[in-house]
Amino acid sequence: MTKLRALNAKGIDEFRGYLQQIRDGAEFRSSPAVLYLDEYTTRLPRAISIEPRAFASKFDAASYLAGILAELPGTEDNVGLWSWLALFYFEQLSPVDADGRRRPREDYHYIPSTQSGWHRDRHLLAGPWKLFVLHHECSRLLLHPPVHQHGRFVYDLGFRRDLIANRGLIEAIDVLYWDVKRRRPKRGATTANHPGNLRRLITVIQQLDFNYDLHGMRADEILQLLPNEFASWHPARGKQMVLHS
Amino acid sequence: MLRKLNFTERAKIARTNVRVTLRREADGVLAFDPQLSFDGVDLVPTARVFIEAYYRTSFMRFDCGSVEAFAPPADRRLTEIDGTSVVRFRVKVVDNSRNDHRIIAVADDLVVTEEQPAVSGRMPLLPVSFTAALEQLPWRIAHEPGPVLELNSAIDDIHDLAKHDATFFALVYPAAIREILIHILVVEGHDAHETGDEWWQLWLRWASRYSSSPLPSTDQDEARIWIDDVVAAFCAERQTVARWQTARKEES
Repeated sequence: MTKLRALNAKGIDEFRGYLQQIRDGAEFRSSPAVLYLDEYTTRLPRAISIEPRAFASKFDAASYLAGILAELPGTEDNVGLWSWLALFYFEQLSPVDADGRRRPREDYHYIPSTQSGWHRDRHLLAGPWKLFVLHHECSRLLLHPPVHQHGRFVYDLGFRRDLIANRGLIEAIDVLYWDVKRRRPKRGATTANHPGNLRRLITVIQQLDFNYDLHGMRADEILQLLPNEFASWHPARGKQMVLHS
Repeated sequence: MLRKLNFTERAKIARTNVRVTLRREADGVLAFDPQLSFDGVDLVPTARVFIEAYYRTSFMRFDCGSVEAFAPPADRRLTEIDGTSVVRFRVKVVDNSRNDHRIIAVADDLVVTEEQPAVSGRMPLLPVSFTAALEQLPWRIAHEPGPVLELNSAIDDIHDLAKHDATFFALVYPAAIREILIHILVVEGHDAHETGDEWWQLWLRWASRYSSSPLPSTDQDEARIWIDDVVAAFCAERQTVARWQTARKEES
């Protein structure tokens, strides 16, 4: 069992160097020494054990991390901690492609960006962890993709923090688009020409936002406001939902 | 052509009724202090008051009690707002007496800058935000939706340059004004003759001072000519090139 650490400034520089070397064609050697040496890392205020797991999805990773990080203060802004975690799970965050090569994405996917803007939430582990902590089970739709991908739901909702931070709305989206039986997003949920798709929902929500305090509303209250084009997505269609024309 | 029609039955809280100041705490986090007056606005006393802070994709919401008992929370630190010196605020008054969470009054798009802290009926036309996120871009106009002049904080003395440097003034401000006016009249196609105190209406009122021609109607070619006039007159009034030349002579 490994003890979780945080990369220090030197460790983060080293990680950036690895990322560039891999982009230039070098191979990644798993479990690099940087993860464990005091020269590159700092110990956490409390000892936390971590396992080298294979995650089935971002949700799987986020729920595991939420469990082990629950008692650790200041987790969200700890750049060194999330960088360490990204290096520890790097093989999954940058898997080999069909040509047998890893092609790391921009650094902020692995080392959290401290600059303002949307890429602050693009860290492949910290971003899902934040969503899981905020929405728990209802984050399953947003976190359905494998750990190295973001997915359509995060791309479409992530640009509006007021939407993605709205618990009632995210639960309403889960009710509409999560396929409970198949345990995955419903087919067509993000298809642009499909009536009642996610983008259409975002447009309607932005219109409702003029008149209704959506942040103060529960999921069922938000669902009641939706027009009929969303009825076919609702599992209790014709029973509970009284949709507007 | 975009026309704004109010079907919402929401009351508008005048900007003169809202005052928000920003202060930076010892650890560098911005916090805000709000003062609100509901004078002249007919509201249910028990309606809830929320203040929402936002900038780009970041967002925070604060429960501030009710109309009759306005009570902002003790913790007003803007920890979730993207690192910037500009924050936009929205005040929402919500009546939930019929369990429908209806917004009955709003004051939106209140721009507060750290540099120009007080807002009370006045809104900075072009707030300036110093940011490290521009990489090799020296400046840009961010539409939020009102314009914000973002300056690259990696440039030495950028605060001073922006305020006093004639070269900076000549190279940035005329181009920024042109971009903003094109955005208002051509990209968004706002009705130049609509009155009000939306950000774009304030911009058009300001720009009209520089042109003897009437504000353009719907013709985009006419709008571009009008914008050329405004920018030229602005530069003439500010003696942009002459001041730049003088500054260069003084440097050499």
